[in-house]
Amino acid sequence: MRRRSRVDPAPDVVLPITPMLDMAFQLLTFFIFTYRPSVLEGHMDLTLPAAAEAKAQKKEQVQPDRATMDKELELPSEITVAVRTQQGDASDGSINQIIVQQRAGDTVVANPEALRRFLEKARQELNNPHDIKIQADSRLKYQYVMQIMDICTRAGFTNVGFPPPPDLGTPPR
Amino acid sequence: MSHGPAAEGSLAEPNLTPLLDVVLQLLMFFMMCVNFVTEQVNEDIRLPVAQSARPMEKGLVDVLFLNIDSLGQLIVPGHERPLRTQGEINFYLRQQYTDARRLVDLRGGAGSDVPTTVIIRAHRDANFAAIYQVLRTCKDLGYRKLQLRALTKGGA
Repeated sequence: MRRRSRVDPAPDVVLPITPMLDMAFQLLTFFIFTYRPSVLEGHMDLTLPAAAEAKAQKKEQVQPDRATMDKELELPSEITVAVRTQQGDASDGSINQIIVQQRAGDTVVANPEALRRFLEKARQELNNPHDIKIQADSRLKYQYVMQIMDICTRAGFTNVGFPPPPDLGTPPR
Repeated sequence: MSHGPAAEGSLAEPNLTPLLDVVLQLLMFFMMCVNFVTEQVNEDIRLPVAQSARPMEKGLVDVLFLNIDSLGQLIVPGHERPLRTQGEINFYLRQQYTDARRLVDLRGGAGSDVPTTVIIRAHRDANFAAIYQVLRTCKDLGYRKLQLRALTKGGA
């Protein structure tokens, strides 16, 4: 008689899926809690050259030893947007008046949208169509300053400067 | 006489494979979107809205964040309380500029401008006077690159 060798069947491999699933859900929960959608935050550049550089026409004309007389954060411009707010304790920091100052004279603008149309038109007649100044009152809220700056940028002005507020240092009435 | 085994009810087993696929897809998505490096931004500051604000530049390395709250105070990481007076703010900015200037000089850039970009994140209700003072101080110290942060139209 010939013995027949028996081959034992391979043992079944059973993977423990449950703890693996637990780990997967742990990881998923962690990443869900740490997920932070990107904020739609943008920026607007300000360039602050030294006064000597700002006023020089050519690089050779830069005089770094010259005493800086500039008291403003600005480049030379032909047009200024003066933004006024209410004075006194009742002021809420909102825009009360918008005045566009040019060599030809001052123009009072009704609202920010009218300002944009006015600036687009006025820019075509300027020798320097890139620079503009925004002179805001001290108590004007920053969001309105940015609103005006946004309008100036959309009108085509690339360099926006800020003269000192006319009432800077004045205690509120 | 024994009765046969009780009639077995049919078992309904949901097919877990596609469900697990979805779970793993979600896991992959959140793993790809994770970002552990955060900027020095203060969540309490509500930025103003500006349509012409350009997307943030991700290549900026040398930056100085200035978070200004609605009262015009400068919030500095690591300080117990915000910097309230103009003197404190000036002192802090001068310290930062001195450190940056020293670093530039050590790298052989003596005489060149400090390449630090100052990023100003101011609350929309802050008075312009506080913002102007900070801008003026930065300019007087020698910073040449400044950014004003704002929310784009979609982020408002």
